[in-house]
Amino acid sequence: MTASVESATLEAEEVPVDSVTDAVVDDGTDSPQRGLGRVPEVALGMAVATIIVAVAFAGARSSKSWATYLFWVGQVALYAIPAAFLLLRRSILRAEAFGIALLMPVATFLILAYYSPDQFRFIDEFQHVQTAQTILATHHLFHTNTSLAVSAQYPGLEIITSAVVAITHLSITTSGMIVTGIAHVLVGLCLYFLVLEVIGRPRIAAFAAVIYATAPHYQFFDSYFIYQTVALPFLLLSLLAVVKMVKSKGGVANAWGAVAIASGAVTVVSHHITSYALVGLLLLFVIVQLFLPRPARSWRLPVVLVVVAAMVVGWDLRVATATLSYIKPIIDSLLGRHGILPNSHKQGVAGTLPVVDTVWEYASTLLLVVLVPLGAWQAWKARARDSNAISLGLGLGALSIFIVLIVRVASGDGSELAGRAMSFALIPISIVCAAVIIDRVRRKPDGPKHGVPRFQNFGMAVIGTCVLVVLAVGGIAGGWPSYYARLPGPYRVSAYERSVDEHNLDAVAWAAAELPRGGGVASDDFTESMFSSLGNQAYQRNLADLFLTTSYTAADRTLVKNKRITYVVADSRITEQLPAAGFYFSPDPHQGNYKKPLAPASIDKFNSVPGVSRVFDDGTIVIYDLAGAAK
Amino acid sequence: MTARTAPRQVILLLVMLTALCAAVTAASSVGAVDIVFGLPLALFIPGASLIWAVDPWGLAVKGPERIMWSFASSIGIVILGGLLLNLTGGLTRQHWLILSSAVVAITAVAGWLRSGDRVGGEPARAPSGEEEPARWVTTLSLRSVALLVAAVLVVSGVFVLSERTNTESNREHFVQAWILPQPTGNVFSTTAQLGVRNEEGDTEVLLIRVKVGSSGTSSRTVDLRDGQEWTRQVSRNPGQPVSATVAMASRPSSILDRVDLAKPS
Repeated sequence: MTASVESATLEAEEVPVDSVTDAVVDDGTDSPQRGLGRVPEVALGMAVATIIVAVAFAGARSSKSWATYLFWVGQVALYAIPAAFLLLRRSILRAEAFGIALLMPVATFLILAYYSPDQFRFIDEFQHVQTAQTILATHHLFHTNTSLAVSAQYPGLEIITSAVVAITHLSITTSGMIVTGIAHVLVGLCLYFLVLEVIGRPRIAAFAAVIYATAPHYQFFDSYFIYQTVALPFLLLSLLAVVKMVKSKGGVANAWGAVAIASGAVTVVSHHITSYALVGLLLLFVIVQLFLPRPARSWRLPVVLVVVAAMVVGWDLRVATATLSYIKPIIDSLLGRHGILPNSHKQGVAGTLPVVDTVWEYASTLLLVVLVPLGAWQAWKARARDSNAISLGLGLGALSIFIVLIVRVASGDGSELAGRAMSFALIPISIVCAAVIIDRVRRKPDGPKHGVPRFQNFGMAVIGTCVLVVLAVGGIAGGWPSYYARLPGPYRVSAYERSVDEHNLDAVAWAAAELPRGGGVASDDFTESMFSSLGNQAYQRNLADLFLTTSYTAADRTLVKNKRITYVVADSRITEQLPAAGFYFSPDPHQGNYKKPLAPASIDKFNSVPGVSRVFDDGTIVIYDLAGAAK
Repeated sequence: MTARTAPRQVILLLVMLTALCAAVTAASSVGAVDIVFGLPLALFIPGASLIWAVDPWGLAVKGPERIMWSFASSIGIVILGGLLLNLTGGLTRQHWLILSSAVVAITAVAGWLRSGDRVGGEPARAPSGEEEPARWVTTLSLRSVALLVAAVLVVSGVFVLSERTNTESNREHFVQAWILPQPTGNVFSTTAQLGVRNEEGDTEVLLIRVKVGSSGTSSRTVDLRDGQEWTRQVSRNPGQPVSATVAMASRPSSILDRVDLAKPS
């Protein structure tokens, strides 16, 4: 890949000067006279794009119909501005390329902040809040998490967050947003420097960072207060250190090997899947270097792989003992069996998934499927020339798009799993696609040798920009949040980010303060998740039957006894609204088939059960205590 | 050995900055001061010190990449250091300050020693084959500064807009009421806690009616500011039912909340 790309871009940069007053500067040349180049203009343009999205969010909060259209205008502008700049500019300063790699994650994190400036809104975030709260209360790690056991066993995010809280006295929410914001920006910058190290062209490096920003989970999920967010940059840092190690010799190479292992260690203690992805990529590098000439191989690469893999195995077997039971349902889902993830919850209420979303999602995937083989083939062809294990490994690693495609089409919850997988697969894919697109756009056209007019490649640059916009729109359409929560707004039942409001947050805060820790709670899935994570109550699955009857039956009594249910939390809104995600419970036997909300009697029945106390009421949420009821 | 090379000046600056931040943070009880001096101590300085110790002359990483590695290293140091603190004294505020200061002290000594062989403030030439260290030199025109300031102002303004619309649209108006046996979970307790919390967004006069067993209903009104809580201990015979309702004093027939402790079956 290195050779082909460099030759392609070098060809492109061999542009004769056609204007004395506008000297062409080669890619990446720092020129103090030019300062930041056009970075301020790009920054202002991208800031305006985020404003458009923010105004759309403000409109959506007031249920304005134009909000959705404005949202897409802002999103398209956000991606089109840096893409067009990178593709249309005849020359790029290193500062401009770096500026775009920096601005892209900053702008996308701003969108997340605009969505919810003062409060975590994703259910999983609350699970990690509980771990952070426990660390701050006990000053020690690895205490039980009542909602997500593995959260406490991969405490990287919570350690750094609790350190910020302890030192600055900021809240967990604010500290968490600072930490995840820095981690999000680091991902973009790490990728930029990784590509710069592998390929050596700032333009391609910056464009790869922009392409990576089109990942389905990039804007929201990978920036949430969840453990993957802080693990991702360390995966990339480990790869960056490995590249520097492979390119160095002697003590310097050894030092970079140590850095790669240290970064790998942080990844290992922060997130399971990310650490497996790191091991997978390192294994790929070790394998592909067998296809390289002997002088191009590095003995340090297998050493780094063995050490990181040993750390992963050691951590999973000795510390993170809940990992296997956590991963197994996901594997079941991958294999088509029903897993922990509610099946196709992006589908929503039957028939409500916008077809246009699916069209954009598949269009973007199709583009990647077309671009990746071109880049992979170039990388393979270049293996005998100026190549190394990393460039060849990343080139071939991009073929993982086909694995993601199979997962998308064939698995039980394909859209969700494919979206999550793309956060890792897009690392090599973005590099390969950036190289291919820049190669095509910047290629010197056939014809007269005496010069290229300024915008001879204008058409190709416009096409390249359109490709990037399709990738971005497809990523957002197929990514997170789902269509029903893509814009903020009033409370909706079973709508993830839209299912968090003052009612359930205050009720959960009351439960955390007043109820004994670890009591079994039965409720709809979202309310139960919040009571489990923020209210410190035990999370139970398979409770749908308790709410699908309109009277309290013997079967209900048995279920309560077997599941050790102490409290029933009844949010009356499940009797007023259909579930946006298509399900009320996890699992839900009627998922995707609800035509009307649950009957009011399904929750009111607890008022008339002998011995059941109504211990909490806020007009919307009622908590029943079953301790006095007959078992 | 004692020559003031360029890296040594930076290392000295980092040590002084660490001492200042640690001292101010340890002594301060003002939130803003803790944030200003505490954040660099947790998220930047330890990593920067490590980078200057490992690569004092900027041969391996330079310019913005050096800043990126500083942030990343700090986060990595805190995470791995947290695992260490868990085995020793615990993840307390004091220990975090000691850890950050110790990392800076150790790396500063290492950096000082490693940067001593090139005196005069100028880095020696890189070994042959390695890239010459480059300075990250840039100039900012007035126009660039104005555009960047405009971008920051625009973003800040929009953030305020988001904050306001988010707060206004998410504001719910309700009153919480609860009743719990004391101790919680003991259904045969002789006391119960009755509580009310006003989340209406304004001061409200609430009418609270309580009935214990088959006795008559007692009523009282309470003034509660927004966010204010009111609790009262209610006595009862073991397992005796207790019920309570909450309404606005201005509309006593419109029940907002209803709670009860049932007789155990």
